[in-house]
Amino acid sequence: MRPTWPLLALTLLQGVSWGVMAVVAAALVGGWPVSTGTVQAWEWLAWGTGALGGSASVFHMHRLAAARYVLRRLRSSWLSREALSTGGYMAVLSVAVALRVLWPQASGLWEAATLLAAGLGAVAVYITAMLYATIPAMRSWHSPLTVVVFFAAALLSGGAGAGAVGALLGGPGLGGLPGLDAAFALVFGALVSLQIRAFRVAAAGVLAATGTGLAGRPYRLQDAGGSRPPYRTQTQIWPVLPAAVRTSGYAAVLVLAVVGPCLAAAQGTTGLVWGAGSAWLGVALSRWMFFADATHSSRVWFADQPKTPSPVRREPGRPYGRRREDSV
Amino acid sequence: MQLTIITDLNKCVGCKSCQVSCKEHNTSGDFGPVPDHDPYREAEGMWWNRVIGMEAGEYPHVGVMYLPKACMHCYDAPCVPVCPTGASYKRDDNGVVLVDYEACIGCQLCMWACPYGVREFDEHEGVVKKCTLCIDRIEDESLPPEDRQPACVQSCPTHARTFGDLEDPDSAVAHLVAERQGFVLLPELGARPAIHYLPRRHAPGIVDPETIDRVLGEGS
Ligand code: SF4
Ligand code: SF4
Ligand code: SF4
Repeated sequence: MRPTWPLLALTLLQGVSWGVMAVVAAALVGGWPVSTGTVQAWEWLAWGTGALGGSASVFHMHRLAAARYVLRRLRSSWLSREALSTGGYMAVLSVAVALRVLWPQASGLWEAATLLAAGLGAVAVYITAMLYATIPAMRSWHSPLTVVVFFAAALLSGGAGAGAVGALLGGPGLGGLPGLDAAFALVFGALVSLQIRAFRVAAAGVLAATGTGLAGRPYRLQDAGGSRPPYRTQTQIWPVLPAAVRTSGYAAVLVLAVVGPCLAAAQGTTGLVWGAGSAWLGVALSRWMFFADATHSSRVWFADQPKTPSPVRREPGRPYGRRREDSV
Repeated sequence: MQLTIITDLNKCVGCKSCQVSCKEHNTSGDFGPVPDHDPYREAEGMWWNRVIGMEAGEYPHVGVMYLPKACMHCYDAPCVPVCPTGASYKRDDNGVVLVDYEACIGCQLCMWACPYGVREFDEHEGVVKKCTLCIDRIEDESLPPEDRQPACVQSCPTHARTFGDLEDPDSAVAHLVAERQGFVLLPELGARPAIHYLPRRHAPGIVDPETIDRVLGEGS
């Protein structure tokens, strides 16, 4: 489908925000050796990225006049639930940040609000991922793998961001667990590799030959019902990515999101900052590929599909038919 | 009651009369407009009914098949439960799936959820639009009874399309589906479309005169 910047920004920044809050919760519960200032900076990072992501989601709505109805279908719509859970997460996180600034003595209250925000953030990431994973027509996404990849992307990007901020503030990155960022990167890389395979399987199952339910196959699309496939009015489909773009896109994801952070993890403060940049770029590119390379069932009738050669074709290096002069 | 349209793929000649009648009626109707904001630069515009052309079979047994495709008014319409605002809904009384433009935020989630690619986004109004089964015609009592049917059905020159109630066992549509193996598109995705198609019959094979003589000879 067509990737749009509000969706990219919302899903990526929500992931970074919760990933950082997961680190904060782990540091509080696990008693990590990090300074109060570092934890506070992490919480600000989570709040800032979450607020930016939430603001971006407004641009995905094309008719704000109806925004007041958005919670009407909480019983069935993952989008209604996403609005509620992301709003709730940001509200509690804002309370935690405000408590720290306005009432620093109330550390018990702040800790409770922080842990609650981290829990709500996990629910919000789960709901956002389920919005994509529960659409049967989106063949590439309709899988539990989608949910797992969203969590892995959040932990990698949030963990890398928290590590870089921790190192910049003079601490030991992720509070003395140096292998953690590399572990997040490796798990993410393994899951993305599984997802590449799942996307290929989905694409192979959606062809004109399978779309009509009729005998007399194969069928090949000749006319999409207009002068062009309706990519402009139907955003669930997009031109199929050329193989070279797809291959280089996924290769760049693996280099940026896995190799970069793993190499950088051993290089001290500067390395952690570069590693975070590399991880963020890699995760962002992987999310772009998640949208751009996704196969929707309606591709059957609209999008281009690989051409199969006609059986009436010229053998390479041979002209059509026999030459008259040969038969004389 | 579940209103539907049955299309006989043997009769459809791909003239696109239904496609243009749909656009013409709905551009001026209650649920329009079906916009062409820049028709000379962006000729594709918005269509609620698209006649898909497909090459079928392999040489030498080839042909062209036409498949008029609009909203299937699904029984378990996946576009409805995903809609956060309740703008997409299915009518209780006749099974028609509609969009309330007043409540639509233009999030396009319904377009992703619909397996058939029949919803279209109007970026100028910021809402999603689609076939209404011509609800404004079929319920308009000021129209003569013969005109209370969808524009695409009425305009089809080969009578390939039949409109009626699929749940009335005596209706023409129910008979066509039962007697002619009416089928739906992508049944594996579980939307249970109301719109059915009648399968194409294969053209009889060509029999050469020697075979006819031989068979007649064997019979005598
Ligand atoms: S065809 Fe698509 S838009 Fe129409 S009812 Fe079914 S799911 Fe909804
Ligand atoms: S685009 Fe409109 S009709 Fe479709 S899901 Fe969003 S609010 Fe509902
Ligand atoms: S029923 Fe009406 S709106 Fe639907 S395709 Fe036919 S003409 Fe268009």
